[in-house]
Amino acid sequence: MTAVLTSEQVEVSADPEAWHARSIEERWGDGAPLIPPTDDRVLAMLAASPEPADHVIGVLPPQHGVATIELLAINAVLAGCEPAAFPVVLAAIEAILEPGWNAFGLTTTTSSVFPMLIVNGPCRDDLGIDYRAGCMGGAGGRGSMTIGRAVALCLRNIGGQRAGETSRSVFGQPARFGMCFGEWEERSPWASLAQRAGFGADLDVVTVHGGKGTYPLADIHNDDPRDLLYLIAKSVAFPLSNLYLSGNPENGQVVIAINPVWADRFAVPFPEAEQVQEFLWEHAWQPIDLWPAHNQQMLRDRDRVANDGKVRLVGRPDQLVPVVCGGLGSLHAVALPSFGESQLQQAVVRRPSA
Amino acid sequence: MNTIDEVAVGAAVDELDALVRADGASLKLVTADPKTARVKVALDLSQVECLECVLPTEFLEQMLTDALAKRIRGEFELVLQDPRR
Repeated sequence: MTAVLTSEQVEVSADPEAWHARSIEERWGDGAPLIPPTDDRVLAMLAASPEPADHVIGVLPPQHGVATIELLAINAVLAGCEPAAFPVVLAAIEAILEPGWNAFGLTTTTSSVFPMLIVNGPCRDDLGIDYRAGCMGGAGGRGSMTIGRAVALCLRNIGGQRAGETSRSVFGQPARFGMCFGEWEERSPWASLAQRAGFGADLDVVTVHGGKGTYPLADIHNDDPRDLLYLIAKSVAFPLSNLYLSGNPENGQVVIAINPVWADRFAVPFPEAEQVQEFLWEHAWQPIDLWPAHNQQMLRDRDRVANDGKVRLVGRPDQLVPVVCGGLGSLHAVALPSFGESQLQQAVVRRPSA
Repeated sequence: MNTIDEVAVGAAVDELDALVRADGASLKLVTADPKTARVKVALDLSQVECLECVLPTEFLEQMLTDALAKRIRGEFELVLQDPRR
């Protein structure tokens, strides 16, 4: 049955430049060109949804916009999504709406934090979700470039998140255009991110991480896996990390993207991902003396300093989350530190039943 | 995202096989897996009488890499199984 669209209809020019100018004037987008959400395009998107057009998936902060499937579909069209990717957008929005993700806090904060989507499962290749070289930008897969963007447009157009207005983000970050990448499961020596959360390998799963940015790590001098992991642990525990600001060290995660070459190397002493996490956690701390006196006092007041003077970045090993992706050039890792008051959320991608 | 065509990869390996055959060696494609971007090639030296006459490992590896790069879209990892290692 074809859906009946209920959203307001707007007449726009068929000329691409005039349409682009109009979209900027009306603040429908992010400044880059959008695809006009014609009825046909929206209906095609809706046909890929497991829920009807009027189904309410939730209320998006910060301005409590009611997210119907129809409105989400319109934004997916605007972003350039293909209909087959729409269920991934829906799963991401479902995950964002989980209370533990703290969507209101993350859409209004002064921090640069934004949903970073990590996709597991067979749909990665079908939808063009990048997980190899340049997966965090530059590879140019349609899924990577449009799914994250669709989520960003939903937060902007339905949730009302606007920089300098409802969002107090001081800098923002490039990922606010949208960020979506996959895990290179076939090159990972460990169970995938989704499998470690209890999902089957045959399922498409979206993990939403409230990431503050991409923090690059590199080494060309040392091939020893323990040395490299030690250096990664020390690097992610940088003194101005958000994760030191909270009184609760069990809040938040750091996703650590590890290239496949390093992953193979790490898997020799650490054949299970949990062993990697344990080792990282053992070394992800700084001595209290590192901070100036005022900060030392803050950390002591918040009970973050152990008797031996160590200030651990996080309270548990599972807050340091390895994900295998990226190219075969080795030499690099990327940390995606979180905002703190937010927990990774996951949702299965659901499609219409046949 | 299938960036590795097994037929094209096999053709590249065959070209280099012709080079090493003159010295009694042979090169065979073991696997070309688009999911892992890994290409495994095995060098057989069992019929070789003069080991020093066969292209050195590093040189052969470079030639294979160059030949494969012309036929594979995107990155790949060459694993050359060479008994001289």
